[in-house]
Amino acid sequence: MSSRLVIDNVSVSYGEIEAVKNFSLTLEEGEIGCLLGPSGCGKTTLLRAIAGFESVASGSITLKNHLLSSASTMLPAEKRRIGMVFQDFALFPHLSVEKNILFGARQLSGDDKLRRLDVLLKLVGLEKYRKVYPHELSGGQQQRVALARAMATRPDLLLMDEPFSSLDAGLREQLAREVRDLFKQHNMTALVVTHDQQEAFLIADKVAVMQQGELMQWDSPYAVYHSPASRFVAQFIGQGTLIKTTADSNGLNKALDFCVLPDSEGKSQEVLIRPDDIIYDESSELRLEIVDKKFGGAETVYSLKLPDGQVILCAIHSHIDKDIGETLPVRLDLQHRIIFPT
Amino acid sequence: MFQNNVLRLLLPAFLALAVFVSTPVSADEVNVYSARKEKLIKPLLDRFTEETGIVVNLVTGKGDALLTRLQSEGKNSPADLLITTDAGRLYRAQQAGVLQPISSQTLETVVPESLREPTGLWFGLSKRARVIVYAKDRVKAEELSSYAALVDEKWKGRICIRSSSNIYNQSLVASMIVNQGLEATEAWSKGIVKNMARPPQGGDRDQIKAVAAGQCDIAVVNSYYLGAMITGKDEKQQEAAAQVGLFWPDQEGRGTHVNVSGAGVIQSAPNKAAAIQLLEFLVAEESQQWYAEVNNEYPVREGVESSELLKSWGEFKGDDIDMAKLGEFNAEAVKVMDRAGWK
Amino acid sequence: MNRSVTLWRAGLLFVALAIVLPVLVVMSSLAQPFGDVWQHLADTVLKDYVSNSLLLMLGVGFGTFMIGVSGAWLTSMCEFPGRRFFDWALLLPMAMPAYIIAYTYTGMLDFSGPVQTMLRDWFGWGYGDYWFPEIRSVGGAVCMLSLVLYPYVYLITRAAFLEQSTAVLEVSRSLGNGPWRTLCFVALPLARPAIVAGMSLALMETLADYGTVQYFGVNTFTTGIFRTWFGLGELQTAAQLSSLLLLFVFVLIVLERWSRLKMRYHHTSSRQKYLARVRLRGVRGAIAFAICFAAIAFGFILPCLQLSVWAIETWEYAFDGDFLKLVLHSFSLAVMASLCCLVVAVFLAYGKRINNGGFENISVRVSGMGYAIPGTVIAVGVIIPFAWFDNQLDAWMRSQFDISTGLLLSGTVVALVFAYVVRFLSVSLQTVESGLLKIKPTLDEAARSLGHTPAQVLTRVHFPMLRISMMTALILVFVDVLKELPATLILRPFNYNTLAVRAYELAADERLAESAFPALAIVLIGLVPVILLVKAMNLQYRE
Repeated sequence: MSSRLVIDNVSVSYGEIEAVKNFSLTLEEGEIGCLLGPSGCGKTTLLRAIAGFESVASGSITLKNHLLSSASTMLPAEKRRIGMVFQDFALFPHLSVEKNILFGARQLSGDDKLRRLDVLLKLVGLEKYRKVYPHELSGGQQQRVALARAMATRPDLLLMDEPFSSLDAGLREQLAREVRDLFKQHNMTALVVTHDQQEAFLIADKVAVMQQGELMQWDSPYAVYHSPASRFVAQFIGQGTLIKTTADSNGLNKALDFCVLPDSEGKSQEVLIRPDDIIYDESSELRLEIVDKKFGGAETVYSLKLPDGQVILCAIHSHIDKDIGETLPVRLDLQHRIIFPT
Repeated sequence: MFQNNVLRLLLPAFLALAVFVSTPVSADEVNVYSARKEKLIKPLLDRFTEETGIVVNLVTGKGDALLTRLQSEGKNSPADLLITTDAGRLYRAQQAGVLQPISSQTLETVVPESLREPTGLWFGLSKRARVIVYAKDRVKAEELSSYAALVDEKWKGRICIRSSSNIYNQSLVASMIVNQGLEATEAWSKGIVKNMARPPQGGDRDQIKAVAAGQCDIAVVNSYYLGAMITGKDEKQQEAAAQVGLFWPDQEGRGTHVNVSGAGVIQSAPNKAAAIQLLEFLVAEESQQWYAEVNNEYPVREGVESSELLKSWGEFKGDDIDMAKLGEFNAEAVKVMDRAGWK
Repeated sequence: MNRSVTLWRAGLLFVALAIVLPVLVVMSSLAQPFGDVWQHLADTVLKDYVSNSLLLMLGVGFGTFMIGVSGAWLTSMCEFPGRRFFDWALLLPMAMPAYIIAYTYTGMLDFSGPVQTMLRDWFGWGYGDYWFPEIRSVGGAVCMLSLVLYPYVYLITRAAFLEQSTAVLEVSRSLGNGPWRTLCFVALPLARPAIVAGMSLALMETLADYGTVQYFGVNTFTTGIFRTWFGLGELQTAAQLSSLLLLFVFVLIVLERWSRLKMRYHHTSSRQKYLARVRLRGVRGAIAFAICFAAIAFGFILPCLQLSVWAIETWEYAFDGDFLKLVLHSFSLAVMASLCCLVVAVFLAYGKRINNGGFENISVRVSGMGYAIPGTVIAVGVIIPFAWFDNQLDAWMRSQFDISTGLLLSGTVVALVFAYVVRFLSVSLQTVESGLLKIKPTLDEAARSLGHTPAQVLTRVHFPMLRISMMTALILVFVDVLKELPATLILRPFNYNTLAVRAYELAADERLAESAFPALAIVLIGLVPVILLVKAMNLQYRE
């Protein structure tokens, strides 16, 4: 039996508003999936539908071949064997850390409980805090308790709603890595909701990009970044600009000619140019005017103006320090040709 | 957590007790709704139980509220007897049709005709007289004469009397309406308001205390309150009472205003016989004497030996107005006082 | 899912209807013709009733606000000598029934009382030679009611202050606002729902008060209701007057809700640490001490002393064989009523939490209306439907089985406790609701995703978290029922007296001194739960 999650053509509505539309996705056992999208795209709604807090209008959700939700069935949340970590952690303020963690593990005997508690506390590195109350913990510690609590019941699937959004940036990255290692160690199947692509790339095996309730792409982070399936994904993921071009437009042909599709002679199209596609090259003839620059530590991102006025981004080593108004010698190094006909 | 455990242990015990002590049931019993306060009726009822073995169950409350309870309980009401502290409420009970006529040789001979309903719907049990008290050092008894004379200019700012919500003020005014008509009574009420030393407040004892303290010179009160102050334990009240004299108004005319406490048997009384027996007991010589001794009220029964205090106040002539009229004109009396601005 | 929602709704509807039935009985009078008496009332006394009631409300509103809020602010935000004592002692006046404090102050302060007599003896004054505030006046009534009702405001506001996120207060301080400006522009507006909840309890109690104003000879709307009923013999008109009073309260509540419609008062972050208390030294400490002490001295200590003096004089007379029975009756009634109120309140508030729709909101709001209605009027509203039900049942049983059931519920403890629930539900409802509001919905979901059914969520998450709120609700109703008089007077079974009834009967018979013993017993019994409440509150904030 695989513990895979199958979401089949699911729609979720709030009254007139369809928050999730005909959504389908399959998450394999041990995989970490991520629902990524701008706020209001329906990702949290979908997560709550999987958890059993929202009912679906059509379609079905199955886990380990058990039907969880459909238009006519709604297995109560407590029977789904799905753990959930909430955005605000939702720790029980009246219970100590250990009681919070063991809250769901009621069916275990006393010894088993203690053993599991020890394992979990060690896992999340909170051995010293078992008797402490939630409000005495820092945000990161609260997050770990919430995670340990959700894992204590050994759920078939773990859901996390913006789990790191309330933590500061450094901690966020560290925790995301930790969580991923933890999941992989225990072969946990998990689905994480986030609006932060860095977080998604750090933690997920596969990313589902959502827009206005619809699934735009369900792929590995690499694929989502380098071969976006739609204009929306291309622009939402990573930095980059879509450059309007035609095969024979002057000045551009020379620099960008190889990205013109063979059979699109003369047609206008859009090409995705990421900052890392433009390489600094002293010897290049192509010199573009700098209209803006953003210093980012190791790298500086320059905005460069093409002869026809369109602006592209270019990320280069920050030692190369030029001012706005100067020109930059660059060369195009396009590994992935992402072209959308217009 | 400690409190929780205590609660858990104590609760069932208290609930059980509460149910247990709520309503004793007995074969021989009589159920009384009484507007007379418990302390002013219970001892008599206990004596009744001692003598007859009939258990008396008692609820006390305000007359009109008890009447409402009776009316809504209807024919299944457990009540046998309604006791009130004024004739007006008996009249209202009569109008509401919750009383039944009874005939009892004893009651008809003992209770004077003017103090009972002719068909036997209700009977007076004790008399309460509304008198004038005066500050002995500032007022001479000769200056006083009648209720009507209280509106005289010379009493301006010197009279204390309680609120027009008080039932005995209402019945006093009702009796005046019967005797003198609406207009004269309204003029009189306005005169009283003009002569008041202060806006009406407090009870009858407070009026007496105010006279003693010098806030006013005369007050209109029920005589038994003065009696209670004299015989009571409170030394300050005794002192205050000693400073005032009691005057029987209208001795030349229709007589001092008298109201009765009384009782009637309920239409649906399940224990009618016992109720009549209790009524007869309440007008027996011994009971009548108790009213005089304990609460300084005047017996309805002729020839009952009254208390030393009542004797010291002397004989008086009471207004023998038909008690039912007091009830009939009660609402009118309130309206008159409202119009007169009597708070 | 849908079926359970329907069941909840049906249950909610049933309970709300049952609770609101007596109110509806009273309100139904509005459908009856308005009799001639109205003309008379309008011509003569109605103006007085209305203006006195409004004055009373304004005065008590101001008084309870000043005492309650300043007490709450001082004990929650400042440190001064005796602060720990005042934390709980400020609640003490709650145990003092308003009509009893009125008796004691009248005994002390009226013209023939010891204070004025002493003044006259010292200075050789006579009547009219000097000015002394008249205790039996609107002002006096305002003072009496404020002194015993401010604990409602204090209790709820203090909890709100303690829970206020320290961050917002610190932000205010960092933006250059001193403690006073912070209080006025941040803390008070934030605590507004709590202050309003406390004041609305105090004001509804004020409107329903009969004992105090009647004793003081202040003609209010409520005394008017009774005067119309007892004096004029017009129960119908009295009920119409009550209905108008009720509508007035309803409009006030709606206005208040509407005025804060747009504002949100949820605490975005839970309080993580306590704001350091402002240390008041020297004169400022002495002033803080004086403010708190005065509230307790006038609201509790002084009247208690007077009661004790009277009680010592008369205890032989008062402590008869029935006395322990009175205590037992009062206590068990209060326990039963407070438990019933709690169960109903939890049921209603929980129903509202689960399906937060307009229907649920209205049911819950309307169920709390009884608090503003005088107890006697509630009693009438209870008697009529209960007796009707009993009589119908009796008739049916007779015709079907030839058995007479008589009056099954009327004149029993059941009817009485029901009346208490109708009257006091608002108190427990407000407490439980505000407690539930503090439990974030994600906690419910977290528990559900950890394998708990909704019922288990209730017992394992909500009840433990609501412990303090529920105890507060229990205790507030307990104390209220202990003090309750008018409904008890009308509805109690045969031979079933309470301490309040005994105290009232003696006082109504103008035997103030003798009524002191049962009155003191009410205060003392009421004190026990008030102290428990304080312990519970301290426990909560220490955790």
